[in-house]
Amino acid sequence: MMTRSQLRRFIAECLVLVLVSLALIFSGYMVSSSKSDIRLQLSLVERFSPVLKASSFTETGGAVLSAYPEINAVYLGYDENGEPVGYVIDITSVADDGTSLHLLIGFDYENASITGITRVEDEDDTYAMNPNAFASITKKLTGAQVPIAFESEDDVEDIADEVTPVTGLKDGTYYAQTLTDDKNGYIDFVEMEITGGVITKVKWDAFNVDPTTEARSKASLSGAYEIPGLDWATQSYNVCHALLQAQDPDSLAMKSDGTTEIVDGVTCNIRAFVELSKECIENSKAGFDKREYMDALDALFTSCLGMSAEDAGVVNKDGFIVYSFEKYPSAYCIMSEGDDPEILEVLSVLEISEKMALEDKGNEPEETEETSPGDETEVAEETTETTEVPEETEAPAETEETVTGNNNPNGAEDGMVTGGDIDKQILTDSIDDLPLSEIETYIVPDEQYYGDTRLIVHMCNVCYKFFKDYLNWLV
Amino acid sequence: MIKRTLAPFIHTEKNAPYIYLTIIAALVPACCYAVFYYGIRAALMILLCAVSFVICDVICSKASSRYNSSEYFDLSSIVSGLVFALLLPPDTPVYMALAGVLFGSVITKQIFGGAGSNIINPAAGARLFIEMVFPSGMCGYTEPRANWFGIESLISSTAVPVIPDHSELSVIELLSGNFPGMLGASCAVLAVLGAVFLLMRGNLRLYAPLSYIISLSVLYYVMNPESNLITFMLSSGVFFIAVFMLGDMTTMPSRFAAGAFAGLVCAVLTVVLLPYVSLATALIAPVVSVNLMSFVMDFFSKTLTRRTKQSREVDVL
Repeated sequence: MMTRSQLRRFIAECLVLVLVSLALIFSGYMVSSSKSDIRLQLSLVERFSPVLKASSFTETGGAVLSAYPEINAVYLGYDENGEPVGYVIDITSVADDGTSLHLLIGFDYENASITGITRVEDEDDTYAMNPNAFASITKKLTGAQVPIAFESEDDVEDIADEVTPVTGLKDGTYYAQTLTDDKNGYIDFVEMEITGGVITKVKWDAFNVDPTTEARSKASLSGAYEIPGLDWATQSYNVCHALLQAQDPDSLAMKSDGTTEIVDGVTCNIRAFVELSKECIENSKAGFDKREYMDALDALFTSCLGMSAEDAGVVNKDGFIVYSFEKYPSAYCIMSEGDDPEILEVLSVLEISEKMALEDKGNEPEETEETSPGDETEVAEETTETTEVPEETEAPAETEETVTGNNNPNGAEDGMVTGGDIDKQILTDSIDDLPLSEIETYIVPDEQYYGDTRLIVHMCNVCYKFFKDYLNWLV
Repeated sequence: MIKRTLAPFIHTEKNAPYIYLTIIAALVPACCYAVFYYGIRAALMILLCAVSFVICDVICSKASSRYNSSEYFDLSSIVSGLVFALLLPPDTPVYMALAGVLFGSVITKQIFGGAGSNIINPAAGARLFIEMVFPSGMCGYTEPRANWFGIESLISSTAVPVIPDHSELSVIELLSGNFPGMLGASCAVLAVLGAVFLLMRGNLRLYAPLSYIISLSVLYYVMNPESNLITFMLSSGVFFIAVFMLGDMTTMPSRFAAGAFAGLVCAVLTVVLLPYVSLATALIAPVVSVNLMSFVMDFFSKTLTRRTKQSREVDVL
């Protein structure tokens, strides 16, 4: 056994040993790290020189990379001054025949155009491709801005040119919002700008009756509001973009369950959007702009609650009245008479405004009396749909209307454009799950290398999707 | 009351716990190196191996009714666990390490009678076992200081199996250990520092380690004249193995001639194996082989010495 003094000496020697070793490790690291960095950078510069000219590289990508299993690594390149010049993405994709292609793809920092593509010939790279084919494809793609599609896949632009805008629209900014909230407490709104009789800007979003909950688009981007498919903000953008192309909400071919199959990347329920867009168009035709709409909504609020929306504290920081009128159906609906009144028709804010104006003058609106019994039934169906906005992920009830597709009041087939005018539909193909509206470059593939080109284009588009997520690009 | 104890009956301050405590202290620099360069996963791996080695040893001892707290708390299990952990690649999954610990503790140590009775070095046996069983799992050599906080590699092997190329390393990098290698065995300077500490405490026999390093240097140079000897010697973990495996008092010959011969044999076997097997196998398999022969070496060394002494006495007469 050691004596106490021997133990003290032993501990002291151990401490000296630890201190000396720490000093050696740290000083060794300080002295050698610059050399290892230089060596690493030289190897990276040499490796990536065929696709991106840069002086140094750092590995990047973060947690986003986990969502892209095809991407092995992402490097950010810098010039001599330390300014970023571009990205190099190391990517391996599996072809239809099960073999895999391993590429390095360089992208310009400013505009995400391809600076070069090279093949990494290692054990991961088992795809059989003629070197001439690869040279031809890379020549075509170099300089192209992602995402990329084949010209043969581009149908949308031509169709968009043929679109006939809705007539009678007056210029200005128009607005409409749902008068009741959905199950999540969101009140949808659509804001539409019309210039020269053409819809030039559309925004679809929703604010929440709970002031602590952020708007639906922000919530979807932060992950607080999730729906199947793309995030809600992107889907909202896509459907707004589709409306700008089509100029008519009916062209979106909404099905009876509120979804559409003809707008790429949109899987959510667009019923509220279609209804509110139509309301905006009606408001535009009547010259009922956003300011008048807000005044009318405030008047409706005052008539229901006996105080203005501002006094009640339901006006949010953006000036929107965030209130659900669910408890006051008689204020915005036409109800049947009797002990158990039923909703016959949901009025728009424009109609409510006109009705209130008439009431002020002591007259009743005549439309109610003129409604025929047959019309009432049809309207009642529509009313139910409008007031009860279905849950986004809810499967459609298999009613007779759903099956036959005759739910559209205009008699169009379910999911088809009103009147069956197929030319007005936005017939687009999904390219690597990207809507055609996002495609930046169209190329003409060589027929003999079609499969090879498709695979490489797919890899470029995967890189684009990564950039979109990683750099938080908002389309 | 008579207390029954096992041999040896000579009591000095250098008892087994003291010797093993000294070895643990000598391993601390290598542990610091591992944590500094490979982060939290290195710390967890070292801790896990040491603790699981102790637990395995205690369970085996209890199961074989040999357990006695004063007898078995000799810290040898911790030493074996530490040496084993420091010989692992940084991205080794936990289950592989635990398989090695189980083999090292049960098969190479406890079956032969536990601490002090084992024929081969438990850490060497364990490392060689997992090198044989999980060859692709023993290639997780990542860059130092990369993913310092990451522990995902402890759960599953995420690293692409790559054998590090040290041919372009500068001498400063080699000396500092700033290159992809084993967790704690890559830095020759720290192994030498540990050896100096053990020598100061009188707990290291230098015959075998010195013989091994000198023989290996010469033989490697002769067999591979075009290869860089300094790079090989400083990057392969040779110094760590020399100090903490060939310097092991339990499994290596205790006599000078036998120790020197064991070091030579170990070096010859290493050079012979190098072209055919992985570096770790080429370094550790000879250690295990020499461990198995150490009794024989000691015996012949003793016998030859006696005969030489007797013949001298006869000549004098």
